Amino acid sequence: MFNILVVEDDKELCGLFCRTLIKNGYNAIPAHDASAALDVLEKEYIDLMISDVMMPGMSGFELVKAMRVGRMDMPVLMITAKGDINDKEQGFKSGADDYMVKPIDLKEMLFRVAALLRRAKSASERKLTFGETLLEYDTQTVSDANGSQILPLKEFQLLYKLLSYPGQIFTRQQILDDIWGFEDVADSHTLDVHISRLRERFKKNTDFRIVTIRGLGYRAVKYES
Amino acid sequence: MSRKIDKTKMRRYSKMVRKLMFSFLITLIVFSLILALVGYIVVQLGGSVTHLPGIGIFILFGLCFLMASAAAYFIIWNFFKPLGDISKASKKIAEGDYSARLEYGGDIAELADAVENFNYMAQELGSVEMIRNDFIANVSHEFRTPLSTLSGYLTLLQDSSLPDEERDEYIRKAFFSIEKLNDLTDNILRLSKLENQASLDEPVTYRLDEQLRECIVMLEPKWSAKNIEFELDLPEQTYTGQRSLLFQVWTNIISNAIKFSGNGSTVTIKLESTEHHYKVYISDEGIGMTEEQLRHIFDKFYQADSSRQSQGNGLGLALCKEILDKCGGKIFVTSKQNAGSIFLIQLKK
Repeated sequence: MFNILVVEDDKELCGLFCRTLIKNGYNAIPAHDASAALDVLEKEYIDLMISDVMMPGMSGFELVKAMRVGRMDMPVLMITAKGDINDKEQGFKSGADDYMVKPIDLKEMLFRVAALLRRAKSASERKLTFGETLLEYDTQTVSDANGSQILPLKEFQLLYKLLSYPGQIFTRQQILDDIWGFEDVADSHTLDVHISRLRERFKKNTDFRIVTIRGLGYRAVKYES
Repeated sequence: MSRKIDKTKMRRYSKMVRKLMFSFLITLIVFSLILALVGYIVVQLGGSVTHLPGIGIFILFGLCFLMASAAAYFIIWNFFKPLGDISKASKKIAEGDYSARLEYGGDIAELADAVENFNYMAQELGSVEMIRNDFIANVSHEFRTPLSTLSGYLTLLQDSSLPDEERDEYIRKAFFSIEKLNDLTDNILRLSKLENQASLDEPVTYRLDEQLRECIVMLEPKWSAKNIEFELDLPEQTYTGQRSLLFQVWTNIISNAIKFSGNGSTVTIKLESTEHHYKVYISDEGIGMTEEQLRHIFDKFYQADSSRQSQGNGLGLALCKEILDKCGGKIFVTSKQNAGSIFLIQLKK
């Protein structure tokens, strides 16, 4: 059972989140401000933290920053009343993994919590599962119903990224920046080649498909015959 | 209280005293000058000063007093009175009466200008006040509507014998009202922030084409639900400007395009670069707008769909216009009913 720390100064809201999480099979631990949260983090093993941004005393951003400095790597979902994109950037820069705006759609919160935990697990185990397909980061191996393949690094990273966020569209630029970074002089053509190679390798795979959204980018989706 | 009265009394007295002193001074100067002149003439003619008859002096003094009074009257009428009028009218405006106006029939150009500008200022203040009152009234109304809808559905939900289908529908509709309230709050906050911001944030240099893509990706749940396809022509373009404000503009216009398009239709987004501008064309094949609607779409709270059943709150385009005005950009629309709309956003390079 996963331990989820809920940091929210509004007691009703905090109770609501905790009750929802408990109903869905998680163990929820409430905290009403950052210092209470830090106390809990020292005593308990926490798998994920949900934190409000605006709180009396230390803000949510400062809390996350302090945690990252203290080498606490668990995923963090931030909640805020403001819908500013500036806040989002600040949130991600401070070390948060995901971000939601009040009023919170509880169903969405549960989806995101599940996705964050899954990703954290795959990051810690360096493994990712999608249907019957298994990706192993350390060996760059992809195994599915048709067998195992060892992929070249960039191909593997590209597939791993797309399958980590199934359904999410990534623009070509985002992929180039993320996988190739600023070190390589990669261009659009390189990306095209990698995508076609992946499609070729996994044309018999029945778990996923890599879809092109013309003009926008790519995404991995569940295979539907 | 008595101090105030004293002050006013003093001011009134000082005004009268000032006027009297002024007249007297003028009289004195004129009398002295005339006396000096007459004396000079007499001396020139060979006589002595003692030749002047006593009565003559009084007549002279009388004449001078009349002339001085005329001069003083002239000055008071043409300077002190208009200033006094301006003062009274300004006080009225400060106290909230924006109907105060001045009249000026004199010849002095500077005063005529001052009076004209004062009236202009009073008019502008009056219209701002009216807009603000309208805005507050509109906001109240816009909040009340979804709140009363919400209240209504919750009342219906209190019926424990409700069949599941109906119950689910009411819950869904209640959520819909809440979403509307949220959107409204967000937009009002953004609009208010923008209107009250004296200066803009530091301009950022970024990829304009990527920003448009990010926006489309962000709106994915909305367009994929309607099977809308995108026709994109977004060449690499770097722009320096108000990145987060412009993101709001794209979000508003693209989500409108999605909202007013039918299932399975196409939304086209094209980024063009001319010598001095970036042009972003966002067009849809949706329900379009009539000429009447086109006239009002940038008005605050105007919704083309008067039944207000749709998701909007009428502030999105007003916000876009406000943002673009501040950024030195422009927005143009062409539309035909049932034939779609084209929005053109023009940005200065």
